[in-house]
Amino acid sequence: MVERILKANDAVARSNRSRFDAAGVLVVNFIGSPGAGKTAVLEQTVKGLRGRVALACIEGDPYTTRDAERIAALDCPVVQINTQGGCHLDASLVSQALDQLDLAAADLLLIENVGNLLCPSQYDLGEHLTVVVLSVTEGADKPEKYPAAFQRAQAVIINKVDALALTDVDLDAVTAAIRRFNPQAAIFPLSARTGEGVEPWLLWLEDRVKAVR
Amino acid sequence: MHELGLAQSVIEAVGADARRRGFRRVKRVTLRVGEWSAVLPDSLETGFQILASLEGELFAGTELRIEREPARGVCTACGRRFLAGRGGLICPDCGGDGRLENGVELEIESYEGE
Repeated sequence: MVERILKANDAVARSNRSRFDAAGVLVVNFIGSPGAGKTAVLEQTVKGLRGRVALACIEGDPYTTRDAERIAALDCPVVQINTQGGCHLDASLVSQALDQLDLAAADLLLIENVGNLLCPSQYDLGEHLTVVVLSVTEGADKPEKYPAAFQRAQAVIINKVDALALTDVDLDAVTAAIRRFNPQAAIFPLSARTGEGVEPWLLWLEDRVKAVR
Repeated sequence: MHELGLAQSVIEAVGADARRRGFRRVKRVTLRVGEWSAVLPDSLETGFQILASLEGELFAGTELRIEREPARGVCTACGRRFLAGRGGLICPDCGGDGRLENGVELEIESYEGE
């Protein structure tokens, strides 16, 4: 009886994916450590793609609504999922959140997972793309420690490059470490705080949205 | 990860199948767990044994076998297959980019009932 242990989650993820495809919306799952800057990356993405792409967001968080409030302040439709301490989003949590969104009105749905590089890597939400957000202050060894998350990403954002001078981290070493565990991923060094390096990321994402439209 | 929840899923899936087939007891369950699956086999085993002991006769004395699937890459340039382990997916022969073939499995491979 070969079957995936997470078969039930996979089935709901497939149903989510059909809803996304029927609505013609591209869905991105953002995974990263707590404090990597996932919400800041989402804010920059929402601001940068405004007028170019119709956006919506789902915010995963253990307890607070802080992240969703930050996105709502940008006049972007957003649904908060509180996992009540749970360490990852799963497909059924996302499915419930979808009932509160007008998917047909969106071209791009950004899902921010719970801050964690382990558990979210195992749960398909039905997304089309996985993006890992890593910050330079986390050091260059994260891909080796968390290959499950990095290997499934189509893109890796190296955030907080404005803080590089304050660390002993070498950007080339971080890039090489990511390539070692995922040679195919697109890599975007940027600062969600200053906006430096954000435009190449936006163009990459916009291209992918156009491909499904 | 949250191995207890995974152990619960295994017991539910195997239990449902075993009951449907009219088995009285599950002798052995074999899982395939990839090296890069973010799952701790010892913790999965402990969780499984605790939950199995609460299930009564069907899972009395069930042996859990966990087969580890090493992370393996294949080079997109020269085609060589290699262990990716902690070294990653760069081909040890030609330095080309590798693609992950195995290592993220999280599967119930089989079980034996009677």
